[in-house]
Amino acid sequence: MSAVELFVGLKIPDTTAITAFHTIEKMGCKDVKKVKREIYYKFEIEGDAEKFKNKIGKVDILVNANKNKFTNELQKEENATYILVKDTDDRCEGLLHTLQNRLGLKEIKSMERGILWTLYGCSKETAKEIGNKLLHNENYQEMETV
Amino acid sequence: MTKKIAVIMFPGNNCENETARAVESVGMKADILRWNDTKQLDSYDGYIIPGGWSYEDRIRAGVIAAQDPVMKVIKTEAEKGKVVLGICNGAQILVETGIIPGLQDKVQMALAPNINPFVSGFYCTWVKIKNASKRKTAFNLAMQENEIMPIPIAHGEGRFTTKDKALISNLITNDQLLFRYCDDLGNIADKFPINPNGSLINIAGIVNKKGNVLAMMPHPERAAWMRQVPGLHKKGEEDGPGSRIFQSIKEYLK
Repeated sequence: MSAVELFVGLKIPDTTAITAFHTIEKMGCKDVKKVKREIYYKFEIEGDAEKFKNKIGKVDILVNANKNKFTNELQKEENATYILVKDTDDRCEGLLHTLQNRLGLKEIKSMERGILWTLYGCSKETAKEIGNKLLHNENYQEMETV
Repeated sequence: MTKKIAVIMFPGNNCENETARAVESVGMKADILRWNDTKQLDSYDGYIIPGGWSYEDRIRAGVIAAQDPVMKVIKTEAEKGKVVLGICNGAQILVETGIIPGLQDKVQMALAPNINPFVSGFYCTWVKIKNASKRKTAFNLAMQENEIMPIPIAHGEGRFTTKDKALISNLITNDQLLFRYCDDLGNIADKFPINPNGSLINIAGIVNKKGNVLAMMPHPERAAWMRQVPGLHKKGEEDGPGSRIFQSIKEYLK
């Protein structure tokens, strides 16, 4: 078994990330210069990871080539803090069923997903504070700084 | 004097007109105010945050509106004892501000994505809720104890939940669980479809400790006249079950 990650972002303007940025400003934090948002998937698979990476990036229910871009590795940047938020109860059952049974990706054994937020320009502590106040609700989500 | 209710419209709300109509149907005055119009806000007797998708549910349902300056004003007015009702998205906003359940100065609960064995995401149907509180609050004065009401829900994130294990017993002790999902006979069974979204112990609506703020996921304004209620529509313009929540507010404000 091996793990394959998929980070799916938008090529077009991300209104949610822009709204998050303005909300952070309204909350009084001027350190954050930009916010980026990507959907994060992690697949536990059996078989060749490289072959799977080629396939999964072409699955259009995950990556719509007209508006999305993707990568299989987190591209770490300077002055950036990464916050991953996942719903604790999210077993991805519907999506996993579709991938395995309708799209034939039987090599996927389990998967998880979340939202990866990238906050530019602020300290890790500030990013954590924003994560706690805005980007995640600890009552049903978990958050980690990557 | 006619009591005045402000219906607060955030960008993305879509139930402000029917909520205002339901308020006016019981003899109160309703003004629909934009979220950035806070000048005269403290002159109102009560506030309703209607349903919809404030800020398009970006980040998480209700969280951006919860950070809006207007919510500070509403929190202050609620602390003075004024009535605040959050319906659906309004309930999500009240929970994300921490006003509900309001036992600590922090967000103690969430309205998480529904858990439903058949439908993923948004779910819209008629359910039954019951006035499960033994005490009188601003929202059940015009109801009988254990009264059962047919009422519609329409949401994707309506599951009241918390990670604080002691909180639910505190809410029960304080009698804050005003409305709970039930069957036709009033039995509270924690199974679908009686509990339509997997909400902890069938919670449909929670009041604060004082009983003047309510966050409820069902839509009383969509059951304000009998003509809106399936099977009872022939009763036409008679008051519907949802109307009793607005009548209760009026009685409380007398």
